[in-house]
Amino acid sequence: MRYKKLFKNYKVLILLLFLVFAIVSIHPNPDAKGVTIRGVASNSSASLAGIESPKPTSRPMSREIITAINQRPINNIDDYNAYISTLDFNESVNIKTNRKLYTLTTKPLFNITELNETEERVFEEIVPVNRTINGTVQEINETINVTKIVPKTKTEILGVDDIGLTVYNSPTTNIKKGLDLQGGTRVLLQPEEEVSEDDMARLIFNLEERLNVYGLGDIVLRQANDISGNKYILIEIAGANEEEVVNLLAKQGKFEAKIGNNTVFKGGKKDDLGVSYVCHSADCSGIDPNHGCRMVDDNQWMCRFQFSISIKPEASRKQAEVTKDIPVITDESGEGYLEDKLMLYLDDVLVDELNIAGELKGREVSDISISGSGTGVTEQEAVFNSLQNMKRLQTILDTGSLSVKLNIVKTDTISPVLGEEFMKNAILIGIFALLSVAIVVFIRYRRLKISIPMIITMLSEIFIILGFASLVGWNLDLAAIAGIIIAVGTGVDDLIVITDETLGKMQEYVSNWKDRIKKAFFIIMAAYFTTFAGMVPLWFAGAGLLKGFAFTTIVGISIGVFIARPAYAAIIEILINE
Amino acid sequence: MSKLIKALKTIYEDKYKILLIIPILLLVGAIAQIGYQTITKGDFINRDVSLKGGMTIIIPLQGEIDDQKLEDFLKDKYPENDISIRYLSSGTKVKGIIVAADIFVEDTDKSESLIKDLTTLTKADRKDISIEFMGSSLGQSFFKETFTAIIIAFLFMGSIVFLYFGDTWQHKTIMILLTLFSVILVYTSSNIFVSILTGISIAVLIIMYIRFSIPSFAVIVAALSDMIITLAIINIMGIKLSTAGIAAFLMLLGYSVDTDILLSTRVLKRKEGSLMDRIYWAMKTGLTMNITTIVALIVGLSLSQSEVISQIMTILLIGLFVDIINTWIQNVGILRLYLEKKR
Repeated sequence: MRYKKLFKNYKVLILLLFLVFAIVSIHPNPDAKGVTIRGVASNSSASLAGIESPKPTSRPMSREIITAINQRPINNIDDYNAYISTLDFNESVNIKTNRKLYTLTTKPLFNITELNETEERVFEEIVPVNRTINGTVQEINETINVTKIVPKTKTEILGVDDIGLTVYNSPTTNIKKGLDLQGGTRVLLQPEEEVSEDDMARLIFNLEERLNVYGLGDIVLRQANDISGNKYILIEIAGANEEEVVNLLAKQGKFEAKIGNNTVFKGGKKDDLGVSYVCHSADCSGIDPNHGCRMVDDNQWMCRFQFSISIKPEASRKQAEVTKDIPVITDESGEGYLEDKLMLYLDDVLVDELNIAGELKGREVSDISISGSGTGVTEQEAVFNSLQNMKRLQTILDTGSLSVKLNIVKTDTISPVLGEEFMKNAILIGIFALLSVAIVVFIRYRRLKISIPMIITMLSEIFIILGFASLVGWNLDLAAIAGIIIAVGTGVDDLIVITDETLGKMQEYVSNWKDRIKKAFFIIMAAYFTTFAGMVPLWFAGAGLLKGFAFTTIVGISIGVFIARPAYAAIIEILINE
Repeated sequence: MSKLIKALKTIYEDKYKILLIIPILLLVGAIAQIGYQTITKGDFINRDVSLKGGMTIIIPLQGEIDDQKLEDFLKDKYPENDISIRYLSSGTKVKGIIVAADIFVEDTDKSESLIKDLTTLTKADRKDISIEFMGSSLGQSFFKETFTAIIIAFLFMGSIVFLYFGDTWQHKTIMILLTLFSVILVYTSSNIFVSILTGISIAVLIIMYIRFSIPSFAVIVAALSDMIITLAIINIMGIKLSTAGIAAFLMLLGYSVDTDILLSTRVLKRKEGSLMDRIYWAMKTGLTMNITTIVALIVGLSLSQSEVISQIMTILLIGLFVDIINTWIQNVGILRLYLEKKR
């Protein structure tokens, strides 16, 4: 009868509800087969066959899984490697995934050497031409043939080219593992010119900031030297693909907005002509609603993005000064624009041109809308690419350019510091630690009705924390595991306080159960707020390890104090207090 | 047996002022150790390769290799160094191993000998091996940031405890404002003037704690000395701290306040029984808390096959034993002195 009552108590029901949410979010599937696609190299045979890279934010269990190649089942990475190594070039390959069947053709790998002779070759070029159509003069693009003299080349076939897929064993849950547990990409960067120790430290700081703003939180950056004293920067990143790394790290990221030949503002918050605020929220950044996405070609979509920024006073003054002498022209619709456009340069390449409204002439303006575009084969891909470009531009505007250009010396995939064995060992230890807690508690109170609910409460806390982790997509690394241990450890402490306050010898002084629970939670809340207050500064400290630890601890103890521990109090009330 | 317990009980109940010497000596000794270590070794902790940096040797592999055997061999041959092995792969094929050791450019004999050993063991060609010397994985500013964060953490924790156990709301308001002021100063500390001002405002805060809320002061001192004493013991044991070890110290911050708050609440906010009754009552609950954790940690340590787990558990275990002394001797002693004075 009493057990039925358990499922009528709202505190217990809330705990159960959260547990269900957690399990749905973790999405465990212990016998997952196949290999999951991590990335697709552009222009590779895989990408031409239509296989797309997963978005970095997508959840592990929702990514595309290769289950068979040419009807042969692929269960793991070894099957995949074994089969791929047998392929020859110009072969047709059927790749079956959990979504659809792709047919791709392997490409030969060429070695092109330039010879010392030259030859004439005909190239197609697109040029704008003025033509009279239906009585009006319009500018249209026309393709013409141009003959150029180029060096002669020799092409040899070396073998089969990589099909362009990077894959990994399919995950069994939605929990993302961090650099410590899963490994990642190891990139060695070399500054293009000689830098001093101070410059190097600043460079590393700047890179770290850029990667953080970009949202690649799980990174380790350090300085390295070789024997002859050359300086390098060594970076390890989890979960980023090589293209992203190249775009973010090897490019200097020099942003300049120019009118005519005058620079009006630059990227970075430290420069006087810099930016004071960059909008990242949805209400002032995203796909431009006035332009949206459109098909520009048979096989090409383009989207425009825009976001607003504020520039520093010095930069607004500069803009007013530059624009005051520029004449206003009026287009057919009667709107006035300045003759010169605002031109946005990224690493000295023009990325966008914006018209400046006539009324802004000679005025100090601090709020500016920045725009740009992205393309893709499908509309979805175009949206994704333009948002990706936007994020990169925002990052550069936020952090400014690197003082030195960096060259990527090499990139490798590196195994985790703590591998598969570590996880198995950690889980084993976790189980035995919980059991030993239960035994100690049993020795103290001599009641299974206390030990068993305690274990259940602890396990549910762990599950809910992991469920939350996979829901928000945060990486489980060493810092996070430490946070979980703290949450569970202080959880045991709190459960003992609840038990002692309600069932201990001193209970005769307070007869009412509700009062006893209230007194227990007075202590629990005091400890909770104190730990919480201690974690907040660590969270804002900026460094990865501190931040990860503080975040997990705060989430963990909050879940414990507000969801799991009240439910425990309710359970022992129902089971023990007749 | 019961005679011994009775004797201990008498000492614990009557000689609490003398007992207070134990935690004070521990704290003073710990500060001395850390100071001595900083002067003689130039660093307040022993860092492992992940915190100190060192040499990485990248060796391309042709065939398979028994990494466990390699690791054991290296650990035997270079017992005083910290050596770790990881894999490099290109796409999905294992391409090589990467060995990290806390050996620096200056130490040519050792680095040469390690490279020689590795070439013979892996049968790799000397010219294919690439060598880098790298810095710490936590960055130069990490420890400075951590110190700032921990100081602010203690200021915040102190103010929460003051809100719980402090006396009048006027004092609480002044204390909160002063804490926020100090926090802002600590964050912006840019020149000597601000640093001096920070020092003054924290000093005023400490005086306020001692003057108006000894129990809050006791909780914070207990948590702080937990960390300091544990650090000194780890140093004496010669354990080389990794990033995991740093995480363990942060964990102590969360663990140590639990028992102290339990004790203060039971002693100050409850009216049941005598003072000693309430202390024993708190101790019964508190020691159950400590013992469950200690047993879990010992079980974990005995099952651990990973150095990272062992290091975290060792630090927590030491921290908990230190916490037992700091809670049940130091904090109890301060509380009893305070209540005696109040009467």
